[in-house]
Amino acid sequence: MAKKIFPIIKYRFIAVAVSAVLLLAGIVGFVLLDGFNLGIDFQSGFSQRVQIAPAAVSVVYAGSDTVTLDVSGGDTTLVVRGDSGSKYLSFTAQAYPTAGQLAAGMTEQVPGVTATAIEPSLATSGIITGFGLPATLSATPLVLNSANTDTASYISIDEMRKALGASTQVQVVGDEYRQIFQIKLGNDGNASEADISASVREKLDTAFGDAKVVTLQTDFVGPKFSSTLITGSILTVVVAIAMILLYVWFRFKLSYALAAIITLCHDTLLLVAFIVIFQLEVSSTTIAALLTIIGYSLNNVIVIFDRIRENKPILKEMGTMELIDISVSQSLTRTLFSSLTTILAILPLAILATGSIQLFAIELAFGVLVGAYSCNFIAPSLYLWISKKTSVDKKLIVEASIPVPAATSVGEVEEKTASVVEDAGIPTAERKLKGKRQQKK
Amino acid sequence: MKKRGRLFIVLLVVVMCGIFLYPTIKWYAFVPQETKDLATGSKIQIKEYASGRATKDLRELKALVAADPTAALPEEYSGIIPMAKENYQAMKQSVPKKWTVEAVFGGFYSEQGMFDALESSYRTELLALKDLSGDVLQLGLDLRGGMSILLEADTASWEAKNGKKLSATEVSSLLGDDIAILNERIDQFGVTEPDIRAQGTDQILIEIPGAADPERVNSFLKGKGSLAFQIVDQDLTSQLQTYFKENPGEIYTDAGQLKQPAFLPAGRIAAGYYVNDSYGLDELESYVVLYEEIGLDGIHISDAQSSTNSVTGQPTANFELDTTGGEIFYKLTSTHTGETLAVVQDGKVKAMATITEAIRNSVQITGFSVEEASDLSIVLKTAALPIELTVVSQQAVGASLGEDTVSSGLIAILIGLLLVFLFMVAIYKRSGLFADIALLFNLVIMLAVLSAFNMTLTLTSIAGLVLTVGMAVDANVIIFERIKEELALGKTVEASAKAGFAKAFWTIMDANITTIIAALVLSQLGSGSVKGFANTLAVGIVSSMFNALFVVKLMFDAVLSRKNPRLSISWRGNR
Repeated sequence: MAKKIFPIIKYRFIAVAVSAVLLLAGIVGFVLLDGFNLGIDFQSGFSQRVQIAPAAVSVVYAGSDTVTLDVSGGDTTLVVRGDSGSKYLSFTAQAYPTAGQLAAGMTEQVPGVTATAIEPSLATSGIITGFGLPATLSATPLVLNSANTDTASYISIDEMRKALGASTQVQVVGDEYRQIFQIKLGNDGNASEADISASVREKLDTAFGDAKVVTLQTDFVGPKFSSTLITGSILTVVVAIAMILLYVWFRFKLSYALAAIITLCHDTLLLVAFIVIFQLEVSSTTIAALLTIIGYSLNNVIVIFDRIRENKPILKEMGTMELIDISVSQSLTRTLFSSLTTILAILPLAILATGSIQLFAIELAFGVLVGAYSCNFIAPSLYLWISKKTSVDKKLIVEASIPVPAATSVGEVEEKTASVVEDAGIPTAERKLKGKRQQKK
Repeated sequence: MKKRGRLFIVLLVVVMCGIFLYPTIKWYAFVPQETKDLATGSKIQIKEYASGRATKDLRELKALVAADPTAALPEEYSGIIPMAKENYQAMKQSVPKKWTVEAVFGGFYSEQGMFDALESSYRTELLALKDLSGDVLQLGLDLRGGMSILLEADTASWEAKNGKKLSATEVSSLLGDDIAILNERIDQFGVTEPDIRAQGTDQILIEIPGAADPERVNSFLKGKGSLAFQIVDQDLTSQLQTYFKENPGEIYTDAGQLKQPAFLPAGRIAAGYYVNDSYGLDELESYVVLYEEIGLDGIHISDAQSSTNSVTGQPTANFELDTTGGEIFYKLTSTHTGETLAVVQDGKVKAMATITEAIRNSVQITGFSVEEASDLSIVLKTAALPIELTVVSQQAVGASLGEDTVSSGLIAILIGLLLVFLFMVAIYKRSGLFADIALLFNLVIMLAVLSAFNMTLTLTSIAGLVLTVGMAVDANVIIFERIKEELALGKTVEASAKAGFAKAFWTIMDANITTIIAALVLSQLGSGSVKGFANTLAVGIVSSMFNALFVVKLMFDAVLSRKNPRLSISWRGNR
């Protein structure tokens, strides 16, 4: 079957204009939307450990002495320091097994202390030690929380995730029955540790009811990728591009190499523009998507350039523009099918998956589309312009020695190409000849 | 290339994949969960378990033999039969045909011998599994969680060493350097996917996927200067050993540290000499007196490699010294020829050797286990930690992704894979099926090679693998389209296939080599996940090229070798 030849190169100015507009949109977006939407991989944030433990007892003190309360191993100790000296009172978990008994015991034995059981049936052996203890009692109630020992009312990690939202990372710490969770969240503004802590609390309180969550520890964490790592990575990519340039220069020609590299940068920048405009969260998977697109774009362009290189000696009497049209058209089925298979592999992820993996798929899908467009429109146009520039000097020398048919000089073919629509006769005939020659060998 | 040669190479790759994937398959399919938990525990836990089980087994066996000496040996104790057999042979007695309980007892000289045999059978099994667990594909932090380790900068020892106070900003910049080095040590190939961050002002939070072995984590924290060569004072050593034998109460301080006896002159220190027991744990063997002055500091060691001594079969560590180190070591060994040299790591004497001649560059030392030697080499290859770290806490952490997220992700990945497969069959018919088979094989090859690099599977890396498959189709598409073009020119089926593969060859090569160049540069110069991505990409490209040019070609050859072959390559018409 004779393949249809599409007048691709005719649209080169439109293609470049479209790309320029998209890139410009990216730059405008970058300025207006204040850069990237960085995830916790790229910026500092907070790490917090919380434990689900319902409030068991609330304690207030209304006397003139200093009363401190401490908990260790489920045993509650009150130290009363006053004018008459110090007094230690210990309420062991053995003697006071439930919150109700503990509250009654404390109220009874220490004058001025009023302890109210919030959940009288909770076991005192699970009272949480640590954050905020030992505490000095005052009129503001001190709430003691007790870890849940009832498996039926466990809060699962999924419920935690739902309560905290998608941008927060939640992990179970240790065994699940202990109900300790680690929360990591990014800090996009300049919120303080206290603000973040309060917002986490608020979310958890609305989800699970007041005073059910104890904060065990809050800490500032740095980004997974430091700025030196990022600049280092960018530098590495630049070195990689330089090496590619050398290889393509060696295997093809400088004009091909330059066109391939510019197309590669074009594809990558368009993807970056896409990420900026839609404010997609930048995480480590974004890096993976960008690198994938670099490889993908390169692959596409080289396959088309390979066809141009192959056709060049066969289609000697044709102009560069016709040559490009024929070569791109011949590779078109391959370009479409290859892009389609990749899109098929990604699309279910973009639709069904959630979180960063969905973003990864969306970014890749966009990148593949851009790659399919640029390898057909941008890369051949660039090659046309660059090879025109570089071949001018050489052509003068060639023309001086051998008379060249008019059609080969690049400038004059422009009118003719517009009318070339489906003439594949010349290449086919030539290639038949070549095929026979090969068979003879 | 000849068809037979191609078939041979493909089979060779299949076998290689089998070898690489064997540990993973064995670990996940044939090792029960309790055994896995035991094997991933620390060596001390394994030791406790093995001796505990041996004690219990011995008691039960004794009860059995008392009840009925002629009873057959229960299956669960069959692990000691080989040892009993060996003992019978050593005693030059006939090996019993039937292993009754009595016969087994007859095979051991003493109860202790039987206990040792029982313990060793548990130990060998668990230690072998522990080794195995290091070679399997791990599930990442997002899918299964792992170990969270909190480290703290040891500012006090830094200040003592450098004689000045550290400001908070200095500490955090030193910690930043530490993080970069830890990344390199823990994630050599960039595919382990740990999460390493600064926490607070002076802490580092590390999360490592899988049941990380606390001992190995510790080995990555060791400083370069933790290793030193020191000369042994022989006379004082024998004096010390006699002294300790006579005064056992004087060996340790209340804190459990070795006491420095009063008779030691200035410039000499007493240290413990440790050997690896059968678990690879340090066991105190004896005491030595060392010259306090360090003969050669570990900072002069440029590389360490583990090998096996060809004569004794013992693991050997080969240390390469830098130029300055070589000079120092040559001077040291030439002035102290005939004396004993000790290798000291973290204050423990790990190995001792008599200096027979002056040595300059390379030192070979036995006394390190293979693991120790290879961990040491990783530590030595990377820069020293600018500030030492101490472990504050270690805790297991759960998966960072929810179960529904994981399952919806996996379903999506499967659907994608299926769509690609169906598409290929729809477009290229039987040839598409060939491509699909090659793609599946491609997936296996990638998993096999990456498991050898300690790859960790995260949801993203699984998606990446499938994506590579979607892209690997490309090589097949290029070949098939070429063959279709040739067929369109009216060539015979054989000629078209031949020309199609031949013409597509350089297209595929050029397109893939360019990408491989990018991958290699990123893999050599990049760090962390960039490096991991590049390694995965490189493996994927090579494997997809292999599949298109070898495996698919082989299947085409099989079709073409029939009489009147039909290619079945296009959805249009009868081709």
